[in-house]
Amino acid sequence: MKKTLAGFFLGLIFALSLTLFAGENPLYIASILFKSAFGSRYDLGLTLFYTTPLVFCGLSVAVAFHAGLFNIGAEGQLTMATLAATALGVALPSLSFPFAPLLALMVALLVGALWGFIAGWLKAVRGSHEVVVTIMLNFIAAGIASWFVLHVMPNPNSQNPESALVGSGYMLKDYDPIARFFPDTPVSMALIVAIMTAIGVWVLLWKTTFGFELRTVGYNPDAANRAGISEKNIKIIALCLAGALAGFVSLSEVMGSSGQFKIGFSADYGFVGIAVALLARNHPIGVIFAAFLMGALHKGASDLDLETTTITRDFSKIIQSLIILGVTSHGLWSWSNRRRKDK
Amino acid sequence: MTPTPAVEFVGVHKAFGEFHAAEDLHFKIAEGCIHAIVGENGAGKSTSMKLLFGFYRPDKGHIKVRGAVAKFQSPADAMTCGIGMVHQHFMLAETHSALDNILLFEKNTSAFQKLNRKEHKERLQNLAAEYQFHIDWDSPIGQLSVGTQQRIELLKILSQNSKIIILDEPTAVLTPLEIVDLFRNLQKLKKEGRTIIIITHKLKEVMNNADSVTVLRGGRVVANSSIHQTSIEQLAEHMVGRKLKNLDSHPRLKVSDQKSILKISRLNVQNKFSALKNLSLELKSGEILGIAGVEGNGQDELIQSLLSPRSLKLKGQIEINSISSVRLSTARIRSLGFSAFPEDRLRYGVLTSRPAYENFILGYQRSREYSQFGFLRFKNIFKKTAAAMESFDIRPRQIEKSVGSMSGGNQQKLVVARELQTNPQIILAAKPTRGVDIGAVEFIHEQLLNSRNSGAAVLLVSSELEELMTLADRILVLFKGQLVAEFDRKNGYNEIAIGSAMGGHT
Repeated sequence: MKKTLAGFFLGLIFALSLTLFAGENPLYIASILFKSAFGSRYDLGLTLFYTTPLVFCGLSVAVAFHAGLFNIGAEGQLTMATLAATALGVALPSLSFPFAPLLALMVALLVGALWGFIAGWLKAVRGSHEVVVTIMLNFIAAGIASWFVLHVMPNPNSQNPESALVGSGYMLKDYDPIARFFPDTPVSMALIVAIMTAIGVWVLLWKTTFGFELRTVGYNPDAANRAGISEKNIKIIALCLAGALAGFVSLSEVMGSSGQFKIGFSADYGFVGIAVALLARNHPIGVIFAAFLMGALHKGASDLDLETTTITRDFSKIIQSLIILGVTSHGLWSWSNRRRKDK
Repeated sequence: MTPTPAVEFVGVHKAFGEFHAAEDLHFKIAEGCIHAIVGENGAGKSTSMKLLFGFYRPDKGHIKVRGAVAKFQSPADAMTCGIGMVHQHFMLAETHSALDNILLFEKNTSAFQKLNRKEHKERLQNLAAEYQFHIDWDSPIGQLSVGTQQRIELLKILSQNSKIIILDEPTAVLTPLEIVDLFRNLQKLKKEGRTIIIITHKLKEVMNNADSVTVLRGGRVVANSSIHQTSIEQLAEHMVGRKLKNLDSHPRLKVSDQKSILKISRLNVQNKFSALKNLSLELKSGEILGIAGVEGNGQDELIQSLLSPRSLKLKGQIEINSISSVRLSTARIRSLGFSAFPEDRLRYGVLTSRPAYENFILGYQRSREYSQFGFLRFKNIFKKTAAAMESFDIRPRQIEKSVGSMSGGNQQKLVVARELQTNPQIILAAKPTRGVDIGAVEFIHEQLLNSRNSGAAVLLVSSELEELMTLADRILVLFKGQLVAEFDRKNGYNEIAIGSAMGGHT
């Protein structure tokens, strides 16, 4: 934990000092980042809005990782799930609360799981590497989503690339204490669901028999097979679970805020989710904090464009990468320590 | 005045972090003799030799080679000084030919020089002929037998004309006949005036071949002696630090109404490397059936067809208690009362980074005892693990301790405790004492005999003749996928006959 924090600050300081090359004061940049992320209730609301999908995606990556799988496909899984939830809402607009959002979420989770299942099945039965397959599935999902949104259910009242709106019964807004607390921001009670899901994943992994089997496959698949735990089945289920977790993003995006599928709505949530899981070292509770951090960075950097002339919002990517390098390099430290002793 | 020893350790210390691998080592190795370094795993045998070979540098003390203090920065320095080492895991490039592997070691060549293969080959052929090594010079090394690979390693050293030759566990992978061959060669090298150091834990070989011996325990020298002044019992006692029981006198109960529990008939398996051909055997309750054989003769396929038949393409029939098992899943087979000690503990047996209690329930996690409504019952798990660690004397006695931090012997005891917790009907014990110290070997053997006496059927797959002869009621010899010979305890075991059957001579 101490090393994680040390690595985090090391990465942050290093990244900020890079702004010196652009002729900026690192402290000034830091203050912009901080103010923009937490400066007002509105800013905090937006930060939490970005945090929510990152928690889901971080969990998605982490669960797969515990089964020894690298899920690069959270982006595709969340795209398909969100598309499914939107399609349901557009096709059956007259359903009412609370049945409508629940059903939409169920469908989304199912479709997300299905998208994960494809990769899991190919891995288990055909031996295809899940990294390659999930990357491919991301592109396929993006293609399907664009076609579906633009040609099957486009928004008739807008020139923007977005779908029609779901029925009003699908929206959480009127019943949502979180949304009420942060007026004018898209944050929703999906945030609460995210935190509860993280706790649920923790219980699943560390307290249940199935979780033990899943982790066993991750630690040592050969030993798992010998113990009568089917590596194949566990891997398929793990990727289904990962897909479903990514599918939760539809709750915050569609039912929680926009009520439609906007093409490009995801700020690379699925990929930043990998960073979140890395930062949290795949611990479900750690994922909450790592997602909050990444959410804050994303929101904080959005004001860099306005406040400075030389630093753009893409700078957040640099900070992100350096923080990840800093946090993951703790292995390097212990390695170099050992070497020094050996000499 | 005594002659200068070839090698002398003077107060040598070496620590890895908190772990003291070698402490205050003092011993001498005389020129022109075969010296054995014996000890259990982690006693410091390999560490001490790696210090001599320049892999590590001592923290304190020094090593003298022929009277001069040696300050090796790397194995290359040691080689220049006339020291050669044959490692336990050979340092060969498997895709290269024997010739190229040896030439890799040639020092007086530069990257741009043309290598005169023909000349070198002739020279090496002469050298090989001198020691009666028959070597296929041009095939990739990976295709040659382990014995040949070892001879190539030796040639590598001889072509450097090393005067001090270290061999790390040289007999671990050889057939009994190859072992005889190896020691004949070592005797010859000794006669030429070279000093041979062998690291081993096989005391019989030490007594038969070495001139002097150093016993290490816990990183310290506990005995230094010439071979005539010691005995196997004494060496074993030094190694373990206490007297060992003689298992030959362990009671072997005659189990009444033995019934057939495992029946394999006409089993055929075709795998990438080796295969089983028409293998049939029957295992009865209350007996230990030994499967002898040098590694790689079909043992892995046999084990796999018993435990996870669905992962193989196999023909034939396997019946466990008259239930055909060839279409069953591993979980189902295990539920028929089938337990297994895996042949490779770290790969198939344990989760090294996980605590003892998770390892203890592995494979039994779905039993009512450990799982309720899908949740693990930690109270029961902790209680059972603690009890097992107590009765199997597994140290350190901490259920939270990760298995990776335990010694090989304790890891294996944990595996044994786990697999025996349900009183299984069939126990597949594959190399049950590989990489395990003598004290734990004795304990595990006792457990197997106890299980046998209480009516379990034990299938013991091993390449250690001594283990087989101590435990098994019958021994079948597996060679190139076929059962080529059968020996029965009632008629007395003939070590040489079993040994030659393992080498394919029946």
